[in-house]
Amino acid sequence: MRPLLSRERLRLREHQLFIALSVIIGVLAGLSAVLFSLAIDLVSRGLFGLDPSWMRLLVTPALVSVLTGVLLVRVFPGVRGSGVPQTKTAFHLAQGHIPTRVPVGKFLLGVLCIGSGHSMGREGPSVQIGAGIASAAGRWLRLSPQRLRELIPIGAAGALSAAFNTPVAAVIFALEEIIGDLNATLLGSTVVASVAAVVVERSILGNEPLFHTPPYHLVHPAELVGYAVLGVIGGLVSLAFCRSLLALRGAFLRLPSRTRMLQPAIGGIAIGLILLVAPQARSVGYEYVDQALNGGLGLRLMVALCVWKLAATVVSYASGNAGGIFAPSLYIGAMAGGAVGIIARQLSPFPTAEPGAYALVGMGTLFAGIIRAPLTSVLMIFEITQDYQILVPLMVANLLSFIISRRFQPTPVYNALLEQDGIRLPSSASRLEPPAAAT
Amino acid sequence: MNQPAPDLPTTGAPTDAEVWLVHREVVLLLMLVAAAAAGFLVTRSAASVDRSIRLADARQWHARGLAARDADSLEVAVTSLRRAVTMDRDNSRYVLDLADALWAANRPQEARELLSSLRVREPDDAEINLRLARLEAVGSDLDAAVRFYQAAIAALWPESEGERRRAIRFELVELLLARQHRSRALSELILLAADSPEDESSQVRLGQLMLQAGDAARASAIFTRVLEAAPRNAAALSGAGEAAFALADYALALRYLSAAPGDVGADLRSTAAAVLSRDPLQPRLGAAERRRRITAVLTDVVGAADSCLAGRVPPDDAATAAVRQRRDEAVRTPWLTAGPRRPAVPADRDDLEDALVLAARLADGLAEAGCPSGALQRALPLIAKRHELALQ
Repeated sequence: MRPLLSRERLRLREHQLFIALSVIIGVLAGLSAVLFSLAIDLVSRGLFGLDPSWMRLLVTPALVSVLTGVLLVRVFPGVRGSGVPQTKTAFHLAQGHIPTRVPVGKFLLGVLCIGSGHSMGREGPSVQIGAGIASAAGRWLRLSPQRLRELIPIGAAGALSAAFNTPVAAVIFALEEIIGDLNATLLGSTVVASVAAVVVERSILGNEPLFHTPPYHLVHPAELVGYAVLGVIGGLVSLAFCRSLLALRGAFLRLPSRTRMLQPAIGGIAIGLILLVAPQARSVGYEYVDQALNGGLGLRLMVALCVWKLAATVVSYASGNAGGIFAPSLYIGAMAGGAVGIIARQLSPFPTAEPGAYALVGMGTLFAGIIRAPLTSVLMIFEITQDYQILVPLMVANLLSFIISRRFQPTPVYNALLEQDGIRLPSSASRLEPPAAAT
Repeated sequence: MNQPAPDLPTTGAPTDAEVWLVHREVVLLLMLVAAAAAGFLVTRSAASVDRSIRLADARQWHARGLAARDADSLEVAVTSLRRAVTMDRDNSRYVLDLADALWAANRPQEARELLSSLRVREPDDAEINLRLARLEAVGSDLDAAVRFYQAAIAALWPESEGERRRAIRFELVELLLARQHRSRALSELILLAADSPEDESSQVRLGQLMLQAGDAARASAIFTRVLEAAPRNAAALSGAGEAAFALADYALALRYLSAAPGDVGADLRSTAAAVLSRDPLQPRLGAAERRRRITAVLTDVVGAADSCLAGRVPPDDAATAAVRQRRDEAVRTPWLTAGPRRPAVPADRDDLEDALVLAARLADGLAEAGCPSGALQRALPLIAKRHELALQ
């Protein structure tokens, strides 16, 4: 017996160790998100070169998808799609348990799928990788099921924070989307992890916002009407995205199970064909979002890219490839918003902001409509662009998009995707309690 | 923190096993820290490789963009340069080249936005300010253009770029003069004069701009200085003639303009000659000569009016009607009805001035009516002004 180390001190020490673990998980999740992003860039550059020929655009996604199809079925089952629904499942139903091969497989297949041109985002997989690292660390430390479960949103927030360079939005996302409760007691640890992750990310990549925009603001009060119209259009586009994604994914799931290995390759062929028409729809595509935000794209091109990116993302995701829908939703939103901005400028009787301002609001609008996390979407756009001036139009448009999307698609897309896989998350009221198995 | 921890009693001393577990966790955490440190190094190395690839790609896109721009494929140039900018945002050169390409592709608004964003980051950069100034100069916001020009001039230029700074100030002066802001132009010119090199061409250009800005005295001093060093400099001779003309020193103007080669300043020269040779109020003239001159002036100007009116069909416009009325007035004067040699014609100064004013007003009217204007018509208002005679 040691008189200097009482049980109270031991408990205090346990709490301190958990905070320390949160910091370490934040760092590891942040590093994984940065490395994931870099690996995608390197693979994409290696596969496509500086200026890919039409043959490369056509063939590369299909060929790589043959390999990823085998890996997805034989080696890493359970790493298809975004990773956010799986992370929610791990938190709500699996006591925080994510098998170690999941983050490994997600990293590898995410890099291959997105790097080979599939129109998908890197943030959703980063969330699952971060949560997977947290889960693995927790199991290595032999944490209790309750503590292990608590690490999931911590890892997710850290990864998202580094992936988008948005520490505040990442915390809100973890609370709003993963936990489903903004009053969760995990706020402190989540903030710590998010901050640790973003510090690591900035120390490696620098403190550059993801997109560079000129300072936009509301030019005329009546312009809010234009943003409201954008909110409605954003809601409808979100609805079209969710419905078509669920419908096509449902069709793929109904195919015989022996075709599962081939399904990503079918998606790859379709993506190759789409890239022949719209090479700008390749991979993450933030470069074109940046151009839309800076007024560098014309009306016809933005409308076309909105349609093609939507189609490409639906095909990539539904065919079972590994990648997220955050980035595509921002891309589609920027194009839709930019197009609305150009039309508003041509038709409006009052002065309007640059089309780039509408593209910026459009990003948040689609994010709110598709991901169905309105608070996260507002904060994320603010943090991504570091532009405070556009907040009011952003909130108006996001709210309308969110309402329309929720009215016509009551089940959020992540939950609907899980339901297609036969997984039903507990209702928001029952989510607040830890699962029975943990007690 | 590990599995048994939640079940610990809240008071009392912990067991050896419990203490060991906590120590074990600390060790494991330290191992995780070591793993994080290793991961950090790996990721930083990967980021470094990625960055070098990006920069190399950016250089290639930039080169492609410039080649396309030189080949006049402006849209290709814009696309390529935009990619270069996206890949290497810190490179101002790429942004400036993209702005140039956008402007050349007739997309000034995009160029303006791009440069404005860059200016937020580098507010004192001369190249950015200069491009923004030029963009605003072709637009309607003269104040913004002047502001950007002045920021470009005030930027920190290396010693070797002094000539560039002067060239920008010259550009600003020319813009102000083109927009009729003579006093602002003159302010800039005075600054420029203090900083301008002594070579002939710079001084001549400075003098010419001084003349345009309305400061004939400074212009004359500059041209005189140039002519002291290079007496045969045609531009300086012409400029000195113009300056002297503007200062109403017609004799000096005629001297300089006559010395200028070829047809340089021919109109001014003939006008100056007319002022000197046909002024009836010139000092030290005899009465007969004054009578002769005023009669000749009236005769010539009435002749010019007759030539002009001959081609015009009634009804007259206001200007033509005024010419016709003044012409009739001139014809009725005793100088033309009596002739120059008739002693009955009065020749005191007031009569001469009245006649001169009438002739000058008729010459003015001819110019207003769009009639061809000869040296005499141009000279008459100047002669009237020389003797402080009001034409209105």
